[in-house]
Amino acid sequence: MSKKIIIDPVTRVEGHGKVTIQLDENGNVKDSKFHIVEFRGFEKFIQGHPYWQAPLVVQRLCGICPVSHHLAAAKAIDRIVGIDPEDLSPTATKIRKLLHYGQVFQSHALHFFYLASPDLLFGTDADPAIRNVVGVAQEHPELAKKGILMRKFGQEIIKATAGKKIHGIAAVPGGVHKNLHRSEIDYFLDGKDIPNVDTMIQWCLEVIDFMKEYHKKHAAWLDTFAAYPSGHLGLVSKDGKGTLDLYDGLLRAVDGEGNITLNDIPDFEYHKYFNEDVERWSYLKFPYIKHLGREKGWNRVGPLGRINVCDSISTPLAEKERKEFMSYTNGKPNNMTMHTHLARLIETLHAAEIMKELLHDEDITGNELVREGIRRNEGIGVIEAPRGTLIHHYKVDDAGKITKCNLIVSTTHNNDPMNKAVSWVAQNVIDKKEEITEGMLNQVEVAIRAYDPCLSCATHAMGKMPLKLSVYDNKGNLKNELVKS
Amino acid sequence: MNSSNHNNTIIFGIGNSARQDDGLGWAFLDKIGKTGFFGGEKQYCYQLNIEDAEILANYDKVFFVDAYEGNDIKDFKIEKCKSNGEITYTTHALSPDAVLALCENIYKKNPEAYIIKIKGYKWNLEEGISEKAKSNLKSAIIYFRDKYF
Repeated sequence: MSKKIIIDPVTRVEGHGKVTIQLDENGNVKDSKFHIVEFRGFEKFIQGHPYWQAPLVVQRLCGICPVSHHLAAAKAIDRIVGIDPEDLSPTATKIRKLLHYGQVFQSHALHFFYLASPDLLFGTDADPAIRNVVGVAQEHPELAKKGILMRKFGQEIIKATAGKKIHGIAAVPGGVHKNLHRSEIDYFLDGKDIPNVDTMIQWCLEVIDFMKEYHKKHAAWLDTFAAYPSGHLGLVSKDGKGTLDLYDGLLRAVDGEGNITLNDIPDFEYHKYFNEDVERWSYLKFPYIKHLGREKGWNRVGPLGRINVCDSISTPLAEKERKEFMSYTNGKPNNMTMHTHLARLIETLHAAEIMKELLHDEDITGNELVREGIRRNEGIGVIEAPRGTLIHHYKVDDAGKITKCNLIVSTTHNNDPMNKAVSWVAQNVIDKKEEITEGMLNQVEVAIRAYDPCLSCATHAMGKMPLKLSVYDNKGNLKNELVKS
Repeated sequence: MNSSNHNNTIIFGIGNSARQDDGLGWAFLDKIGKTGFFGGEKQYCYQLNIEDAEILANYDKVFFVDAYEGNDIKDFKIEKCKSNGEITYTTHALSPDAVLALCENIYKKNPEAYIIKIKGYKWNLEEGISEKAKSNLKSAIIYFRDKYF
């Protein structure tokens, strides 16, 4: 009997998604799709607003990574007011970087401790009543406590620089609206009120050690689960060294073997190199590199993609971990989806090291906050958000009203990769099975979750996330249904 | 309760004022802020998160105020939270019971906790609370003041 399996929506990701797996009469997987079924609208309704509102309004499309949208939009609007990234004052650049790396730190901590660790600690087929963050708190309270405090540290950085933890405002066209005072900086360094930045670095190292030990015990699973060759995309530094840069840089892509497919192009030229395709079954677009075409031009973005494309990391502890990470694949790109977790932790460590550097940099107390330039009618801002390369593109009329907006959100780049991951699980876990268990279905989610997709961002909508699994026969009749609430 | 021990009490207003009656939790905090009978801490939030467990650990008493869309209550309802109740976790937003459970498991603290459910009717992307929900909010605040303060 032919069946259709639907996981709707996927849990422990940010947003709302649905997975459909179509089986034929013999139980073989015939087709699989990861649908994004929320509707997007920000690109349209921002039109007509004055350009300076973009960083304030567009960040509202997400409550998890608004900082990334705030800063990507701000970088685009900077260009509209005639300020390129190099033209910002040192204080403005470093305050924005501190905000950004605080965001990356808290977002990565959120993902690892709250979303990924339950699968790692309890197993993908453990009782779902235990396989969650509350279960982690019950069984591993010290780990959970560190997760809470790491997330809190990043959020406090966001609050200090942007005024509040969610939907704050730091950037203004051409700069920032405030610096940091000595007392605000000491809060993160003296360890009196919260564990300080050195403790954050230490905890990052401990969690990385945990993940490496976990890998030793579960290498067969981590190395093969949802693994497939793909392109990888990310920003690297503009200084010719190819260093990982999450705030500003050149776009670089490599294929699954490490061959360069996009050679350090200026971010504001993205539209010369990327196309976006659409499918009838998803609101999420499918970006790809033009010269490679739709079939070969898609790329993974996010921690794994970034570690794969960069030549080095600027901070010593994270660079040491990167070298070890890359040595596992003899310097070739790592195409193992589950290794994304370790890549994410290396970036978390890097973010902590960068925050420490910035907190000791006197420029963040400086008074030159805003610079002015000559108005333009177009601006493009690209940033490495926690989940990957984030592109904001605006055109404005002479009155300063936005006439066009295009957003290529991190999760959008990962649309094809996530579909590939779902297909892998369908083919390798569900294919030919008489009984489809909750644990098997959770493995579909585990594969998607490795990408930390933000579906709210990708479609710019809000939604609840109950989980519904429906099984259909080949005539479209509902045969079975499971609901997680 | 007099004002001297309000310092050990925190109220979480949960919701989103941009979605009509989903803003009831925040409106509750706004109103009691104006009336002045409550001297403790107030926390505005879109949803409860895991890190809120740490905040709870610092208080003896906590109230969670949220809009409610079910038809099983007439205007509002105050229930005591059960940190030992069934724990579920399906998204990045936690229930008050789950946050309490985290607080107990991680911080070994168990504050006295209540949830105030205020019935709402409209949930569109608009600002402003419906007239019926305003009436329910007023009733809830009067009851809250008289019973706890």
